[in-house]
Amino acid sequence: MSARSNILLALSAAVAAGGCGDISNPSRSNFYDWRLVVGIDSLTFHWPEDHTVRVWVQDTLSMPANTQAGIDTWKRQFLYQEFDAVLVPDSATADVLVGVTIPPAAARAIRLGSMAPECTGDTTFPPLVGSTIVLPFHIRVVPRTLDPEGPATQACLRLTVTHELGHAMGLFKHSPNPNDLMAPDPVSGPTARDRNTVQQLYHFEADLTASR
Amino acid sequence: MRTALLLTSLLLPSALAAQSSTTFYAGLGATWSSKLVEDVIVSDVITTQPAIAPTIMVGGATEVFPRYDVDIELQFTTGSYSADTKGNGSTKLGTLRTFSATLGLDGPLFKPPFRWRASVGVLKYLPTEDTGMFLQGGPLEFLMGLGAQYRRPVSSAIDLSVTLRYDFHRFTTDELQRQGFSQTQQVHRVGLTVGIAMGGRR
Repeated sequence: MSARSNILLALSAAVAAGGCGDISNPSRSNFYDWRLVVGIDSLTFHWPEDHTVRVWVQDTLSMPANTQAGIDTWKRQFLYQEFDAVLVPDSATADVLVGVTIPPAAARAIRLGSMAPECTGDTTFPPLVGSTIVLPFHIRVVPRTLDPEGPATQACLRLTVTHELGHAMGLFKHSPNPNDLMAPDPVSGPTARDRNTVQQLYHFEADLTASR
Repeated sequence: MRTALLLTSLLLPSALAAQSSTTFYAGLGATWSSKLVEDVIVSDVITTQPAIAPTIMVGGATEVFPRYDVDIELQFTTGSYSADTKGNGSTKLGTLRTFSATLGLDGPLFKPPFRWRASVGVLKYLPTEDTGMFLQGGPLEFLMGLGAQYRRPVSSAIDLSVTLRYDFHRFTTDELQRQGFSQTQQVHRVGLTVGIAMGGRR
């Protein structure tokens, strides 16, 4: 076999293998509405991609570990690091406050809640100022059992704080599907629908910004 | 383990070069890669691609027919990779390393200092962090390639070696498949290394 025929043979094999189609992205068509309805407006908010969200957590009932697990769960839904968050020790500089005795953000706060047999949760933030959300988001997760350190309540706290973090990320509506993490009474998740929704949200143009 | 690898890498070339029909070569250089994934979310077109990556390559070849060698080549690259959104900036996703092992056949190309190489082998992606598309780790892919090498004596025992490599593989990851990506992406890589060669055909 000549050198030239060897090269031609190898080149042909490479071209033949390369002839197939490229990778195809998913349609992500299965998602739910996330927008905040204010009057006649449906508004979108998400954190800027270059902003690391600062989360302060009340150190009780394993809430720091539960909240970190919630942050990790949401970060895993993204392919391109669209969302990032860290726990911070100083509540004064935090974008999101999480705890079991966190009061609502304001007397007339916008409230998004969830309820399960073992615990409840809500996320509040003050009425919009123009197109601005005044930080921080307040997330309250409250056990409803006599054994708040028990495994069932802890699982509920973890799931509920993850659900509430979803609200603080901009998923301002509940999913109509009971299996989704963002259902009003979440039982599991996130599902592919939750993932599709949050991925779409973070590539949608935001109407709202957030500032202190 | 590291000591054993270091000793092997130091002693193997000498042992191979001691046989007249065996060539050892090593080089440093850079490798360019085409995109790994192109994705569309809402109206954003997102392309994930490794940056040009520093490359280290070692190989050993032995003569099997007159003028033709069989060789084994190991290549390691390390560099960043990023997601570029068309018209909307770039996000660094971390560090991506690759390790490839290929079995090749090489022979004369045009005139004696030049040789061609055709190869097959495997390529392993080694992200430093299991995140994003590498959430479930890096894939192992089948690889094939073509290349050319130029050798020029610089001393009685050592040649200067300039090596150009092209290779091709198809890419996907477990996480991409879990998220609903179908088929695989054809990935082309071109690498250029400069190094030394010892022993064998000169």
